Amino acid sequence: MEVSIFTKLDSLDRRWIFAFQALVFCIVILNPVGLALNVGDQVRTAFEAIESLPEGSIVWFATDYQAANAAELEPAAIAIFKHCMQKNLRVISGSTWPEGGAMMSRLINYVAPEFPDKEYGVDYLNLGYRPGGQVWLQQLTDDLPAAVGGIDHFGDPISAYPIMEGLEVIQDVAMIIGIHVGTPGTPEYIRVITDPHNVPMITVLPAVSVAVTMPYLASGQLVSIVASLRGGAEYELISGFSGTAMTGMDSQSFMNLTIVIFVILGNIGFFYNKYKEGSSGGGGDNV
Amino acid sequence: MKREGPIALLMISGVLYIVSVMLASPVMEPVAATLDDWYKIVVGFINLVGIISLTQVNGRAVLRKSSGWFYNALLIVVLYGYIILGLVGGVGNVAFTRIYDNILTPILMTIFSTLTFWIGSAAYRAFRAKNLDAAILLVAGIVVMIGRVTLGSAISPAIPKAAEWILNFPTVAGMRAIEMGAAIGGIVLALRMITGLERSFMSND
Amino acid sequence: MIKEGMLLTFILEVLMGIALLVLVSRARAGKKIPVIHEIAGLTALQEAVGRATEMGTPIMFVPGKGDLADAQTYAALPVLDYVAKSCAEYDTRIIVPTGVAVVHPVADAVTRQAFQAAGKGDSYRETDVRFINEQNWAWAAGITGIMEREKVAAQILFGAFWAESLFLAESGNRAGAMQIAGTASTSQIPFFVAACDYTLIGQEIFAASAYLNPEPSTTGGLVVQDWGKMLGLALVILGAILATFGNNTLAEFMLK
Repeated sequence: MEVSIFTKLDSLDRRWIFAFQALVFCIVILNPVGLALNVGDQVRTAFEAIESLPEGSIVWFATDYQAANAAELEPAAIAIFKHCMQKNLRVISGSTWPEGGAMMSRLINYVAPEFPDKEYGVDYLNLGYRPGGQVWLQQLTDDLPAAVGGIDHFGDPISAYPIMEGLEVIQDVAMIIGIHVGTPGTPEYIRVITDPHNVPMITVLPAVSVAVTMPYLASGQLVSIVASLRGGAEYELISGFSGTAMTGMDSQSFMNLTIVIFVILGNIGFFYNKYKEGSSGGGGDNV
Repeated sequence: MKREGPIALLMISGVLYIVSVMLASPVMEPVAATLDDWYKIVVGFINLVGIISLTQVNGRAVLRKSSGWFYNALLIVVLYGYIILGLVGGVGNVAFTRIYDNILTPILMTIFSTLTFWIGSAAYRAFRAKNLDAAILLVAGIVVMIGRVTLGSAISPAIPKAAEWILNFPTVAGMRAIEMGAAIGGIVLALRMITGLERSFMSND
Repeated sequence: MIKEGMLLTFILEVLMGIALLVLVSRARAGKKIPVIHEIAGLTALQEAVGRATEMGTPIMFVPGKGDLADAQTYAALPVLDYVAKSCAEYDTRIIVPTGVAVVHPVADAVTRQAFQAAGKGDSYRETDVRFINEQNWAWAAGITGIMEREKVAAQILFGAFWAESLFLAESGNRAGAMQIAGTASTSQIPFFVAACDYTLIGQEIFAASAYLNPEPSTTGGLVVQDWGKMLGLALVILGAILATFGNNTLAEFMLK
């Protein structure tokens, strides 16, 4: 019995979907359309919050992510880091994730060449990963130098670095930039540091985490959420620091469109089969 | 009988921890800090258990020349090689960071990126308007998928607004309900453990 | 004295603790306590074991990526105990790939103990409870590899999961495994719902142990969980009404 194309739409082999997605991605990344991008309220709020910090303030970069998330989150983190350097803020990072120290090193490698006058230990510092998760965050609120064991990511003593001046506990920082993808992440920072000690926090998140983090924004426990690659692109746009996020916007748009098209095709197949089953008395075997 | 000791320990440490977190007492606060330190030390040491398990499983496969034993051998070489490299040269040495930046990072990014394909196939299968609930989910899913990217505003400024509304109100409400339910469930589980009612996670050994 | 912001939590925990003890003692004395409803995903666990037994292929139990400070891990371990016991009874292999070193020895002990409890201690293979990697993508890739090589009949995903959830569930779907998932990681629930046959959502996973071992003493915990939820709901409604009329008494009390 010949099978109708509509019948097949209901149960396409997933490899067709994969192939089309790959094809669309390649076409769009090679031929960007240049869809217009507007800066949303969240990114504008984040930008203005950093803009309003007095010169010399300390910004804590919580690099709680890993290499897998770099493509999605690094553009926003880099743009914010550059903005901090431009504003003469001091950036110190620490992480509850084992790869956090390496992630901060990557950020420094991207940002430092654009700011040759800025120095490690004076304008930015990588304290790296420390075990303990939420427990370690709690210890940062009691005695920060002790919680990091008095050394940075590379094992050098932090007491020698001028950037540490005036930083005894994490509540001394003016702002936390949480680059978070899981646990420990935004909720742990809110629970242990930002809520009890009134430290403002902007969080940079992958798209999948935005919905679960929205309640914290609605309750005023977060200043802003810079979401995913799109947030990075908006931050690049508003800060004027061009990066890789803008170029990824078109491909993201068309990849989503491809998924939507396949969802619609699947539903056409589903309703066609349902209609055929109905017209043949429900006993037919059409697939 | 062998379970009673650990259960008593769990009860005492559980109650002590809750009290020290909730009471503003100079006597109790160091208790929580000490328990925190103990946990960190245990976690630090326990990584060795993971390494031992990896060595056992993969070493046995190499010795027995099981199918694909070469990969088991490769894993052991890379595991110990990278540990030695880090211990000898430190995390800042060139070889260590180059391996991390040029091998591990691209591999992890690639695996993560395959999610876009999995999302495609999962969405294709799951988003079927089988009934009214599923139809609402389907429409909401499409609006959010299009509205959160630049294409949405290019089609109509109403689409990103609709996507924002879906995320800010129905989604937040649903997420809060699930979070609250889970938090209460977590509290009751903790109470069951502290009171010794829940003990199936404990060994008899 | 009680710390700022902790008063309500303290009161709730004390109330729930008292309710738990009262209900458990009532249940033990044979007195009537409220009836609990069924959770489809949990009854399907036996179906998963049956399927694996019929096919002669293993079951994969993935205990999540949470550590021992994560309540979800403690919710997953009793389910592992239950599934491992069933597997031991039917002489079916169970593979437990761990991704958190601190959870590994506990998962190993739970599985071993389950086999011993079923009188099949000799059938326990210690290399079937294996530590894969702390890095979640390496862990997920390792699980996918095992799934393909061992042709697992069913995959049970229980505990805390992050971005790897869809990777695991879609790989399981591709391998044709029956899949049961349970997580309170809210961002991952939609992926499990989309890709698995059964999904336990949020608080259901914390109730799993009591459902699987329906003794009167454990059922009391479930009733307290539902009462706690109802109390939370009442506070939300009351707070919303009061806030609508400009009264912040409840909100202020919660911050005390």
